Amino acid sequence: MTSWTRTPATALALLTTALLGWGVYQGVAALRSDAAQARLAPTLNAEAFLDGRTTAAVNHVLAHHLPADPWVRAAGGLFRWGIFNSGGPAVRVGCEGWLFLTEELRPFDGAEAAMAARVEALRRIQAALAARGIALVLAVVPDKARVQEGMLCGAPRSAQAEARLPALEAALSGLPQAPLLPALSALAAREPAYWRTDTHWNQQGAVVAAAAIAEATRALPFERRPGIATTRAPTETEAPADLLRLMGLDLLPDPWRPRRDRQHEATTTVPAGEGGGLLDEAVPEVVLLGSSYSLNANFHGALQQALGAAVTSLAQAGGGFHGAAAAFFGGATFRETPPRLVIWEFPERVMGQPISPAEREFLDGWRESGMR
Amino acid sequence: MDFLALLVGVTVWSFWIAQAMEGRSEAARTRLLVLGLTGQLGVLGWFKYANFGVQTFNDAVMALGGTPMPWAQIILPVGLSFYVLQSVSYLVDVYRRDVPTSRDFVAYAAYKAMFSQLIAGPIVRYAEVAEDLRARTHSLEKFGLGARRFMVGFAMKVLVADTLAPVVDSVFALPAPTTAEAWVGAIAYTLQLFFDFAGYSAMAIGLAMMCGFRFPENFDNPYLAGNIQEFWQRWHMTLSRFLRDYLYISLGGNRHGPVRTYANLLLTMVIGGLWHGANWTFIVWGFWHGALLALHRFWRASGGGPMPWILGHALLMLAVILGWVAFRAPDFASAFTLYAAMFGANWGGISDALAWQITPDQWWFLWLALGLVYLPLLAGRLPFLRLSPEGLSGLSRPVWMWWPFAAFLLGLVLLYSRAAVPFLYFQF
Repeated sequence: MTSWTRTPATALALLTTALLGWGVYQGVAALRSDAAQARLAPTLNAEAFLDGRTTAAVNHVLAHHLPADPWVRAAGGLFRWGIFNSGGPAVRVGCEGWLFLTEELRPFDGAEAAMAARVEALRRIQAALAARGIALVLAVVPDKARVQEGMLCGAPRSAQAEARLPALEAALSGLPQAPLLPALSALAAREPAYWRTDTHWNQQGAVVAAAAIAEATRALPFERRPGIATTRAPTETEAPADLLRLMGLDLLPDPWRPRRDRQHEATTTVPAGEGGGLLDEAVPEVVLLGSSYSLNANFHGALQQALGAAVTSLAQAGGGFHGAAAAFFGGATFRETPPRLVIWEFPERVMGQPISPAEREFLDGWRESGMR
Repeated sequence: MDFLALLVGVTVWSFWIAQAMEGRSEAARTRLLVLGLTGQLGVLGWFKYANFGVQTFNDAVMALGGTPMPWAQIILPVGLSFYVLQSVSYLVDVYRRDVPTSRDFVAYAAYKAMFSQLIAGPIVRYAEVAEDLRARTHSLEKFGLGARRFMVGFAMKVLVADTLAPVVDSVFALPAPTTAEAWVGAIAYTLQLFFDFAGYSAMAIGLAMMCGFRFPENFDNPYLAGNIQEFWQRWHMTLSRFLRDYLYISLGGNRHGPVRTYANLLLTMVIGGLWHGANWTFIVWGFWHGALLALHRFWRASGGGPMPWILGHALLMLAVILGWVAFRAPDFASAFTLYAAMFGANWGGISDALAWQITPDQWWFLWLALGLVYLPLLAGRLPFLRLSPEGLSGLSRPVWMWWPFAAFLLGLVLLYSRAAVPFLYFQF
């Protein structure tokens, strides 16, 4: 050791001690939180302590429930984005603050077979519904990376992802579809059709997608209802930003992250119908099965307005291809009061993804019985 | 609890055997040493190699159409490889009268169980800490300098090695990597392993210093070596000297002619490879390095002069990178897939299968790690890079002192914003 190190090393020792003290405070606060107590409680016994479950629980708490956790993660996200223009494993950064879900860009093993299995199920479902006089219209949501391709700016998009929608359209030929890509691309040529910092379409995108679906269902018979109106909030608010959340930047102010989208939130009101079912509950003539795209940017409202009809939305966030469909077709409502039209929205990106056991069961169910 | 009992057992056994050697005849001391080593190596053999032995036996039986022996897999206790080696070194040192026998069981047990190096080294000899165990000094300055060293290691591990880990994992998981991908994966692993293990060693040395102990250095810019011998004098130095002092020299070293010397080099490195793990890939890796050492010795013995550093270094790194592929691959098939790709079997650049998996920061850190490996060549111009603060002046002093703290804070941030990556040497 040399003489000059004494003062700075002492200062570092004190700073390190203070940091350790802060760490202890963070750890104690984490362990005292309700979430931590719920996780720890079952492991507070000698058996769990001796086989390591208590330690594992404490480790989990310290890794996920520190009071500073969100801010530390935000700092990590800021470091990756601010210095390296990186969105982390789940997000790819394009230009002008446009973000894209990595899932849209990557290839999947066995994508062709997975897509074929889903399309086959769709054909069986369409046939089964037609046999009961129920119309089905498919609405494939094109990837944001496809519609807003100009904003990718070098973010790597696999050949499989690029070829996915054309392959899907070819596979779906003969099935009734609402072509969303031309409408969304036409919009994107003028203004954004998707949020910059969110995976989903924006309100304008939702409106043109709804119009394209309405066009595809124009000739179908179902109860139209006048007086459906959409209003926009007078004040501007923040739009959804799931991609910022995936980057850990949702807590930070705009100067420290890709600028968040803003919107005048739209709300659609549908006049009450005449009813006709038991105890006058509304019987759905049009049902929307969908993913989070149906839950975002007032798509449901825009669809009702475009159709001029009440639509019962059964969309599920994270439902992917089959989530909403499995719940609806397996439910009593479908058996007892079937609709006249089913609009089934799903993102193109989910069609090549691996099939989970639950989804496999759903797909196989249609193969075996032809009708659930 | 079972693994804790094993550590206690290994500690008691080596302490007792060393005590028993006191005042005995040479023959008795030898018998005790053999007994002591048999116990230690028996434990290591059972926990680390029994699965491998049975698997190899069963493979052979099945190849001959027989029925494999039923076998329940044995779990490798964490740190076993390291604390057994320490016991071996202690027993041999006592036998050779290189160190006095410890009379203080608590101090000896503390040496065995020192938390900072228990799991992954450095392999500290008893003689190196015996004095510190008896009496050591504490000061804020020593604590601060130890913390600084810990932070250097933490930054190496979390900022560099852990950032490269997903790149390595992705490449080694590709069923058919292209040539470019195979080289990216092999180079990324070469860098990851160094920053991971040298980082761990720095953290262990720093923690020891914070507690008043001085541990031996374990790395000295190994990727700047100019030949394979120099590489092993700079890479995992405490293992290298263990292999040299307790294995190579015990086998006869270079005292029995050139052929025996080459054989000893090969055998030492094969055993060194096997120490890393019970897998044929580690044996091949050890054989590769043994062969390189023998070749180097042959070159020098045949009158071959030292190569220009740049040429020797390039050849060395090529050999080391090829070796690390076998070291990292889970089996021969995976290793050969990567080797074939590296030598052009699947010629091509970065494919779709990999491109989506590597983020821009990971690409940058790959280059940064490469730069950091060669940065010490500029140590004369960038004195704050030196390991020791000696001779620093001017702005170099505060930069030397404080850059690890900044890197540590950044490492903490990244540690919490991504999935944890275990230390690579925990598996050994």
